[in-house]
Amino acid sequence: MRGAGPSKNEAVLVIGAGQPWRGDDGVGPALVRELRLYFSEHPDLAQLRPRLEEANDGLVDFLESSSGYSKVILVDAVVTGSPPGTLHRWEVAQKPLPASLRACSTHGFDLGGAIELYRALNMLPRSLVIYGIEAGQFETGSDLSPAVKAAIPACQARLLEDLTLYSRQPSPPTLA
Amino acid sequence: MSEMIIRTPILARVEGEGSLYVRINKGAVRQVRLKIYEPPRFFEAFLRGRAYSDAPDLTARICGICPVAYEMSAVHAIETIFGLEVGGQLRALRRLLYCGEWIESHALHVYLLHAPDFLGYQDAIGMAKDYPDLVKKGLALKKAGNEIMRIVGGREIHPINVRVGGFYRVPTRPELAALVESLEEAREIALETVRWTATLPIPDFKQDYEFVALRHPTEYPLNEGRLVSNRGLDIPISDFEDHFEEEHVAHSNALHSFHKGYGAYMVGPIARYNLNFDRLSPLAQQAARETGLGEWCDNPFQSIIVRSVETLYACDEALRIIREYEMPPEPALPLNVRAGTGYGCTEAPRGILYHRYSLDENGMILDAKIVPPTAQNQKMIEQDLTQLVTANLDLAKPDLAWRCEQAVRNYDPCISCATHFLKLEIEEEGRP
Repeated sequence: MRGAGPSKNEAVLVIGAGQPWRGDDGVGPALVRELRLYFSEHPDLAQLRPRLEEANDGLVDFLESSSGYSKVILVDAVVTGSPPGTLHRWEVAQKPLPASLRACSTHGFDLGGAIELYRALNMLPRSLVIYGIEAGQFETGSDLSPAVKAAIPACQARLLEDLTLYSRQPSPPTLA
Repeated sequence: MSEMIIRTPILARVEGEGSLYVRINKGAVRQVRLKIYEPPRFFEAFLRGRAYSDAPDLTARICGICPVAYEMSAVHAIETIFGLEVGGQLRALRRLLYCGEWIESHALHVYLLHAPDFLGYQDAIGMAKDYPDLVKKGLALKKAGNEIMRIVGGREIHPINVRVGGFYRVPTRPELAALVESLEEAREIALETVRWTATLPIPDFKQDYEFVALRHPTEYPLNEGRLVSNRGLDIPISDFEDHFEEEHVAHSNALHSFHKGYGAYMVGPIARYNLNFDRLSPLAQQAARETGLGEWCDNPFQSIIVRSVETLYACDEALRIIREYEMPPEPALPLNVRAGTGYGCTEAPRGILYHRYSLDENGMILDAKIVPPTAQNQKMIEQDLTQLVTANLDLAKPDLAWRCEQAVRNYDPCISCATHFLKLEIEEEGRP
């Protein structure tokens, strides 16, 4: 959803991944909704507005839909053993995701697998940043846990820093 | 060798959790178990007391790869209760949506899940490093299917546009016309895929199968037809439960289906192909003939070629539907809700998917039954493995285990996601 103002981040895609009905798994979509609200309330920052998407399933497809964007930011719930609400940030265009994040997923392609497949094909976006918010529970039908909900403003602030930086950089040509 | 055990402890999650266990003793296969230990999901139970209109969207959630199949079997079953026949362009749009699912699902399996077996790679990532152009073609093919799902179904995964009586919204002609270019490209890739898969090293294997599929008077089957087999079965779908039964086996949480009086049977691409070759488009028939596949296939390892032929057909058929499309005046037909029992059976990418619903006079679901294709193929997979292992006892254990996994994937079971994560454990006792 794009606002009326001109944006310098049109080639930037922010994706919130996860299931809103599975407890903390919904933190990615929740953050994207917060960002939508933020940009609608701050028309003066329209030049920072990226393309905002939610992805409930299909991470191979998420990479497919990211073609045409030079910079992609993915926000997802992760489990690394840190306390719930801990914010992680990985830049993966140049190096793989930590092995601890590799896990089974739909038809054998977890996030790390999908990234490695696209890396092998030289089809990754030039910049791919992943924000991982440590999840505490994935209870069906439950809301975000308080610690995870409390992590959203910090993640949003960090992400806005990225978007500010991107808006000052010249747009490189995107990959096909 | 007195005893050898091939054990695959994990067959992943999401599309099914399972494992594989083979025990060989004194040169004979004593036990083969495809264990599906994913907890039961109780869809049939929690559909009870819900409105008929919930059935397509709820059952679509059973699978992220073939949601359209669930939607289609559900709406057809319920429409028979309401005495409704959805024809014309609405019917064509359903067929188009189903083509999208076939293209997406088959491309994923052929290129990313099954091909690595034939080329000797652990997974598609390894294969992509050596064959990047090939994998890119697979992804492009899959994307063309996704695009159909997005335009007709509302989104690519778990589409939300299907309802009893039709759709919530129908696409305009320009919206469908925008798909033509990518579909024409996809058709070219699919044709190349047929030729390429025919060059893969196919293990020599065959069995005397009973193939079961839908057969329609004029079309390659997707949404409609009678249930037929190469052993004389020819019944309306409403008689399914008179001829097929599900049984519980101790080692699997998925029910095993069998044809009463016959036993195990195969559903899916090879069954459809064998029973409906004459219904394929001329282009698909010609491509199949050129590969030397012929009109009949009883080697399940050739399923990768047959899946490619079906993908070519689905591209061809999708283009035909789009070419002839006229936007219908209404997205859905009016309904007369009434009580009754209805049956739906459509051809999911992996084979026939049977639904039965009983509704009360308000359209609330009293009872539901769902028989998915993978449950129907389980017995056949075990029989394939028994014969395969028996014929290949001379292979080294890793090679035999590899071949077993490949054989499971011939069926593209919904547990195939897992089979690429299999950590094969082979135990041998008392080897002389």
